[in-house]
Amino acid sequence: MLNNKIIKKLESVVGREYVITDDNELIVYECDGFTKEKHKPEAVVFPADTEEVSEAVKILYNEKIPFTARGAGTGLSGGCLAVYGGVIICLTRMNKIIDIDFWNRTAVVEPGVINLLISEKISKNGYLFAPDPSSQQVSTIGGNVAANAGGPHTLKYGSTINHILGVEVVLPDGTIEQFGGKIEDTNGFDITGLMIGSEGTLGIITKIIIKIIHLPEGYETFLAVFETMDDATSTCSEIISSGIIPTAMEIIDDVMINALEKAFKFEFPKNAKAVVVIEIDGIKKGMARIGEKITNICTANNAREVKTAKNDEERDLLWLVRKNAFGAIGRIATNYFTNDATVPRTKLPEMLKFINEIGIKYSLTIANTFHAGDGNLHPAVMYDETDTDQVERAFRASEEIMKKCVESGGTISGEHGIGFYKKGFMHWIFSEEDLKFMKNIKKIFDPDRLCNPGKIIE
Amino acid sequence: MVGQTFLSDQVKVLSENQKIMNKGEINYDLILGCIHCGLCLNNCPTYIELGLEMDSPRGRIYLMRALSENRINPSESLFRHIDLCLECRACETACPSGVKYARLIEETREILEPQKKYGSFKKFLKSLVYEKIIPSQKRLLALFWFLWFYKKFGIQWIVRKLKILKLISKRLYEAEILLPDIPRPSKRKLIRELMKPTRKRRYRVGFFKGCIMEFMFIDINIATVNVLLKNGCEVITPENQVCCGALHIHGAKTNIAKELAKKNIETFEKLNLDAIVANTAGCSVVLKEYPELLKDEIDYYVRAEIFSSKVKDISEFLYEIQINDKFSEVSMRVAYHDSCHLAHGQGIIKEPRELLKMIPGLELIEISESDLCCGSAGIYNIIHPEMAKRLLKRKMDNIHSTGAEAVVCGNTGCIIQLLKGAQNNLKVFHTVELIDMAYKNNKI
Repeated sequence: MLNNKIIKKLESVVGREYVITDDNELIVYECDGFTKEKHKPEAVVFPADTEEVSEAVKILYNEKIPFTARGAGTGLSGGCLAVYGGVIICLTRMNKIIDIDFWNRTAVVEPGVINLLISEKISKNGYLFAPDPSSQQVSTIGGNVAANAGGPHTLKYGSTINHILGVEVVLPDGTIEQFGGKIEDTNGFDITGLMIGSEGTLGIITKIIIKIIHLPEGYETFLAVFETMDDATSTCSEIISSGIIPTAMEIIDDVMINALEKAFKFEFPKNAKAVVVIEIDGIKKGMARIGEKITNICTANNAREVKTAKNDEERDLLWLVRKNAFGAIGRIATNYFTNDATVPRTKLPEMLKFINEIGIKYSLTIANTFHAGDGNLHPAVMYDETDTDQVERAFRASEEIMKKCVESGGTISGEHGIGFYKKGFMHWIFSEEDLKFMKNIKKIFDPDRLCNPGKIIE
Repeated sequence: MVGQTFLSDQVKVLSENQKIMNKGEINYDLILGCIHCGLCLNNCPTYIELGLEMDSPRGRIYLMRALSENRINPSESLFRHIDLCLECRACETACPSGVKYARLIEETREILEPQKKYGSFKKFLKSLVYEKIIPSQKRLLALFWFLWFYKKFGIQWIVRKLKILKLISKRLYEAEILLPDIPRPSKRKLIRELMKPTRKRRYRVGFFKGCIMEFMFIDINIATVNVLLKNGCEVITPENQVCCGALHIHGAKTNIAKELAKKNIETFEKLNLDAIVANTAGCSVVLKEYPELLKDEIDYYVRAEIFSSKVKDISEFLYEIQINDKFSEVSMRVAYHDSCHLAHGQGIIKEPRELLKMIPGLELIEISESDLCCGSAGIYNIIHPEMAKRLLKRKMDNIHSTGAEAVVCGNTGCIIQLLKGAQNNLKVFHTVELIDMAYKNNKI
């Protein structure tokens, strides 16, 4: 239990104003973007730098009090819930970009830096940080690394893990370690790789060395409109199998179009069953030819029309609308949650049909906005949390969808992490031995199970 | 028949609203509109500065919900987080779900107000300002004559030297620091109740002059009227208009705001106007929302709808009527600051920029975080001087780093705040002043 003595110690590390223990304040830290589960921490501390994180962790380690790192709290699988109470270590104050090295195309950032701010800061020099989860305007790079976040442009550029060179970590006993560095270091064990996607269960990441890339010379962004979901998904499969790798390929279904229309008045074509946003980037020369090929594939798959963004403004607006999709669900429902199960692209038509059937079976509305190019689904199941029966149905529906994805050769998560929500489904994709092995790794780092306990495999 | 159905529907809606209002609860349905995605966080000035969930829009709504569900009780910490909100409404711009945050925070403050314990002096001061001075044009005039004397005849110098106000009240002290030079209050008579354009009349326009604007920045009002006249508007500035009620709404005194709204509606509705133009964003946003304010007033709701449909911010109006662009050169590098109640409250972002770009010689500079609050927020800079100062510093750094000669915006509060932060001869203008300058060919 957290007592006054320990609180005093924490206050002496981070400063009195940066420790929260008031019940009325703690309540806002009881959940993240996954609101179904609520676990109120006993305190929240806001360290200013690595040393303060380390000192705070040492205190908690000695007192055997669980602790959980948190960034902006936009996660969708309850990864930063204080499941066993204890202390939340919130890293929003550690929001400095420490160093940008254009020559070597790297940057060193603190975990509380907002993803989008990195790209905004370097774009005038012609650079970009490629991972772009839809929450990038608010989510922190620390959270992105912890969840190994994806985003629409993952299709060409890969997930967060492909853009991280090294991390500085405060281990569960408070020691500070750095893994990786400014150059690709392939020697020894890839601990950086182990840290990325470990959702703060192996330590707290306090610095991140990221790769930055050159902005492409040009973009071409298409919006293809379809009468059926089948045609939309087949188009995506065919584009990839034709050898083209678009930068992004996203499908938005009619339910989501309706919500987005209310939010942005974007003027999506009426009565469309699905729209596909397809983007290519690179050297301008040759893009017209690829663009033509994409348009032809769309048309051959019965696209009603294929529009092209005429300028940067139109492109920006299209992406703004796409990236705000989940935020717009409040226009049509009071609660939702989404899983991020993934299937091989060729199974998409079948899966979308299945999702539709599940919606009917449980009489729930399900909206689909997803990274079609990666086969990464996002069925947003809507419910009203004041209706316990509906909550129950919604969860069963989501579970069935995930199960079907696994049966179709897919997996339960593509980018949001396992967190608290999906840990019960890990045995669908891993054997007992696999899970035991992972637990052993966790034990090496955190024998007392203090560091973000109750997540992923516990 | 149609009219009757419409009216009976209205009455039904109103009586339902009345029920909700009478219970003194925060509108729970509006709270449920927030799905907790957090996309608002980084638009919120207090969250950007502090990184605390309780000081973010999502966190505050979460607190409101917990309060409504009796999961928490009112406490000092709750008051603090609810009060620290600037009500800049940047979160409304960010929110894809269209949560009506401003209405929620106003309702919450109204409900919490009776539970707060104020000292007797603070209570007296609050009721004096909100209930006695602001609603009365005569008392306002008297106050500003006093302030004019205070500035003009060296009393200010003595007060500041002896730090008298600091002994009486920290708030008064902060307010006094903000006080800009005040023009002689009689200058307001230069704007006559009816002013006719020299050329053919195109529009008949009512001018909402704004309390603070009239007494502190009468030149901006004069510029506004001049520009309207240059655009073929007959300008009527009714003498018996009153404060729009913005300060009362923000200060949890909605009942007074309602009375002020009714008076303004009565004053303007009989004038047969094409538009009602205001040059203070903080006023125009409230004037546009009178129907919301008077939703449970059967006699006024429909009249408020008609009134508000005519309200235009000056930049919005000039842009829509296709401004007379016989401008002369104004050679100046100008940074544009988005006033919250213009950009977030009314979505007016493009209009003032387009107008300014039409002025030959004027170079319009975009600043970083141009739509982040400057910390003024009505009287916020007096009540929460620390946060206001942090935001002002952030704003001024963003402006000064561009090397602009002047900063331009469309709201009184911002102008007072920016004047306080301006260094190195940085000038502060209202959009309409630069337009007026371009008509007059004034060389600076």
